[in-house]
Amino acid sequence: MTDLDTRIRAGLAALVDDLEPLPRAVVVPPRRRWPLVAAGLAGSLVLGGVATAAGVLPDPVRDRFEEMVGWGHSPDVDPDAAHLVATDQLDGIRYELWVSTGDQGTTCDWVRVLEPGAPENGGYGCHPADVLVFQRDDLWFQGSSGASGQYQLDGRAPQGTASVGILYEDGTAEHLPVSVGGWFLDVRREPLKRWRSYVAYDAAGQVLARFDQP
Amino acid sequence: MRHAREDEGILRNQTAPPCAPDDVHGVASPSSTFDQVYEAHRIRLVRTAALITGSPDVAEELVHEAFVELLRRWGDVEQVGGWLRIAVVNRCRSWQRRHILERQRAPLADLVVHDPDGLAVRAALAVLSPRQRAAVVLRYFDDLSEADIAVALGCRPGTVKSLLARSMPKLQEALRD
Repeated sequence: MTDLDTRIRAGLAALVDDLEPLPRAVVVPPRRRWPLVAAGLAGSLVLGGVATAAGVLPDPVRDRFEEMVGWGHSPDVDPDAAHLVATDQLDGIRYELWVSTGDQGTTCDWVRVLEPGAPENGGYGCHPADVLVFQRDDLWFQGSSGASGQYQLDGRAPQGTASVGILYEDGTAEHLPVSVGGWFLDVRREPLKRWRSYVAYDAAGQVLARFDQP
Repeated sequence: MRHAREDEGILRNQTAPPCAPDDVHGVASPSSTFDQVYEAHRIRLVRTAALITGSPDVAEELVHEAFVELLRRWGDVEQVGGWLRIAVVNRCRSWQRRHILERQRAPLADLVVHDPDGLAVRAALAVLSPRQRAAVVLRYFDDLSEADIAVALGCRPGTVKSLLARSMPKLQEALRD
């Protein structure tokens, strides 16, 4: 250990030696952070760009990714690398899909819900490669409730995907266009239906990937 | 909070167990109560946070927030010490970004000290960027390895090496008698 190391250690210790512990705080569970919402409407898809306006990462977005990395299972994800990959809006409520993928294949994503007059809302999580439900990490989607009676579908498809087809158990099907990098986000009013299969198609209609419910 | 519909095979993995590194200050045993964990880790976390943010009051607040979050996830967190450290460091960095202008005017002034080494190091820390300061504190106060610091800061070990390397000349200059 060098003299510099020793001085730094001693100095740091001295800086906090005088810190008196405050009276023990009462730790109580916080109220739920994100309000539960339910109900549905129909929406239209607006494709978003990759970069944020003026290239600035909003603080609330960075904070959210910092929190996710703070959970500890996605240390390779860089909060500062979070970027906007898809957007949609319905009835004046804007949805933004932000993602950051680490070099070990984990992805953290956040659907940010911006509703006029309401606190920023949304849902977020990380998808380490070893805990993904599906066998492949480049074809997945998920649905959940959004804001004020809306539902959202979002996910990722392989590079080169032009649209994702979803076949539902009731026999109906729909196609969703895909944004840059294979990401997609769609907000609608109808509650989400049980799906049977989803397929990634390229621009020529060729199947790039497919997942069927077991 | 978004809710995944499990019948659709959708996984919104928001509370998966973290894979934090071994906690050099002791890993909570399965039978540890929250109170025991709180008593075991709080003081050191407050001191680390105080060194990073320069404010004991802010440090108390940020550490408290981290414990509140831990309580919410209690039962899902395995490596409690490592998880807490990451949670606290991340909150410190978020706080630093929001208060960067204020802190530039009076960096670390809230850390009152009379010891000569402490005074010198306080002045030295003030010349570092927030990220460099965090890396130095985690290395020289918490005795973490570069790998553990990388996990705490959410970056690669090579980045930690670079942060520390760039900090040393500044610290040496500031500590020069």
